[in-house]
Amino acid sequence: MSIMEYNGGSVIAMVGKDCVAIASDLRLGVQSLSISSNFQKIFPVTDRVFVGLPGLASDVTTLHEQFRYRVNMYTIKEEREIEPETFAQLVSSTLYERRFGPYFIEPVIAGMQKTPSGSLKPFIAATDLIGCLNFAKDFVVAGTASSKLFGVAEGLWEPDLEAEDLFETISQTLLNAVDRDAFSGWGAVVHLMCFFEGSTHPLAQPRRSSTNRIASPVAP
Amino acid sequence: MEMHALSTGRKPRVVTAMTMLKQMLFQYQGHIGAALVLGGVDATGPQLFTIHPHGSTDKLPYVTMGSGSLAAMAVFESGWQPNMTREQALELVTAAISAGIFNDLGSGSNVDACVITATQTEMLRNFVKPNERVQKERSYGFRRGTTAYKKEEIRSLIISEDVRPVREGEEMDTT
Amino acid sequence: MASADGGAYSYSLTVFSPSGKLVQIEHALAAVSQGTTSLGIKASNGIVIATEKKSSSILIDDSMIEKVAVVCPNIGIVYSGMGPDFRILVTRARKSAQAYWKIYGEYPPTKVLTQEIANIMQQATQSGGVRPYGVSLLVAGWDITRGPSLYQVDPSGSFWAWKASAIGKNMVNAKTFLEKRYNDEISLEDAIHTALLTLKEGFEGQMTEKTIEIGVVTVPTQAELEAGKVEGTGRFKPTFRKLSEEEVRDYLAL
Repeated sequence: MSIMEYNGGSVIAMVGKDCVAIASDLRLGVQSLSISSNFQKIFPVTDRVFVGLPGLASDVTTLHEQFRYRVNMYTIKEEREIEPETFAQLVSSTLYERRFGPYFIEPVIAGMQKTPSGSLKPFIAATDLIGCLNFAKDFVVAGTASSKLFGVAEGLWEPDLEAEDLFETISQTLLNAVDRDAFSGWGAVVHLMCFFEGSTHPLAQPRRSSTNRIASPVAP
Repeated sequence: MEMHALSTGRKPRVVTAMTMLKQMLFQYQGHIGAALVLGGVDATGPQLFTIHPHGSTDKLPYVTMGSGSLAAMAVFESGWQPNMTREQALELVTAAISAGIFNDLGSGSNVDACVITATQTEMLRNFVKPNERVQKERSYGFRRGTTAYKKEEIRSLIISEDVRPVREGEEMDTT
Repeated sequence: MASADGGAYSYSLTVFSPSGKLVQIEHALAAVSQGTTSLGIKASNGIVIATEKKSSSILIDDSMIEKVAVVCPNIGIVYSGMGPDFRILVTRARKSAQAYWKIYGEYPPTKVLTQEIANIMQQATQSGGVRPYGVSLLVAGWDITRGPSLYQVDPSGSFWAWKASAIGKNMVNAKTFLEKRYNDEISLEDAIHTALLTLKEGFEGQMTEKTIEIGVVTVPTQAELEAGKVEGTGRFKPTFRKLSEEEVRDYLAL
């Protein structure tokens, strides 16, 4: 049996209009036996970057700690927070270090990237287990339900989704895909990052802000 | 390569890149599964090489690589001639890649091309798109509020804001 | 001296003198202050680094000498002191920049690279069997977070950011000259001229495009930043470059 399918789990990330979302299931199993329905696979990197780590559960923990170490060292050395694209490169090079004995993880990265004009634009990327990067404009998928996620996302996703619509799209894509995968499911979590520009406060002008929203959708 | 260019103070030659790549691939005994087509223009003129994953190389006037290489080579064998113009060459490589797209199951979608001259490199991303996706028949988007959820947590992060003083000229004296 | 056990001089460790000084480092600084003058000026829209390139004999082919070095597309350095030591540091700095690129897919910010070089120089003051580097460096570069920045690194491994600085033989006079001439609004063109005028102060012999080397950092425009990477190369447009002999000649003529 494949190591990639030993514990099960899936992650998906999608781009919307001035927003981005990343979602995962919560199952942890040992082959067909489910152990936990609250296993975290998506981790915050900074306020604006999230990483999803589907694959072998022990490597989820190891890699999460590895990334935390490297990002903390970066933040201290450079006196700035890491941007999503730079973090994606860091993920890629970290995985390629183990080219001939890889971590059994296929990371998904989602974040809001600073632009030269100072606003934020959505960013998503995914890599295979040895760090080959895939910068997609629409959505990326990974994990044991990836084939199903591809199919549903291909049908549901459309360009320039507003935050509320992106939430429905990513939630329904994930929920319906993991329902057809024995190794994924048992609860889900969605992280949504949005960017707002314009005056919302009488004293603040112009104002730029963003929100991070976490929701735990349930199947109807 | 970059180090080589900086320390010699010259533009690197294509054979140099080829030799560095073949030495690295040979060292890894084929475990790095890279099959490459390497092209460039240097002080010695236009150069074209293929490099196999085990480190063997070819130097030929026209080369193909990958799962569609047989289909593409068939087009080259019939259509290639010496001293082709930029347009002719571009047309031929497009036809060769298209042969791979349509006849080889492992190749698909669009044609990327790259024109390298002595002065510049022109990347033609999606040069030909023979498999453009059609507009979806209808939108399958879900109505807002479809997805029920148990928990929600919202954090607001202000990135930047300019605060306008309400009463000007009454700032604290900090001198 | 050459005793069988190696004697007291086998280890050239940098050690404290009773008064708390590291004499080896002071000697290294003395070597720097005998070297040819180099200087750097930060302008409102860029940075200039310049040096005089003097060869001890007319028989030397001075086209081989390189005193302003490109480290990576956004950073350049110049030195005063010992040429061979500089060459080692340039190679180390270039390797460090490439290693950074391999990890993050972008070149290091000026401050990070300066820190790397400073660490290399510091290690030479604390390791056995080595002597400190006999050079001071001026590191000039541009990056998205800090914009144009100019740093000086000394043999001790300490470094500072400067608006304008000079190192080498005439550094005291040159610094006084720069203090008089400098203002925050100076343009890159004016800064290049100021750099040449400052060098001229202590220059022996003729200032020509063969005896002067100049490197400049240019700040990319908003449009260039938004355009992003240059098509086909996958890289941003370089922000550091060395002026060609023709360009130096034109500046000298003005």
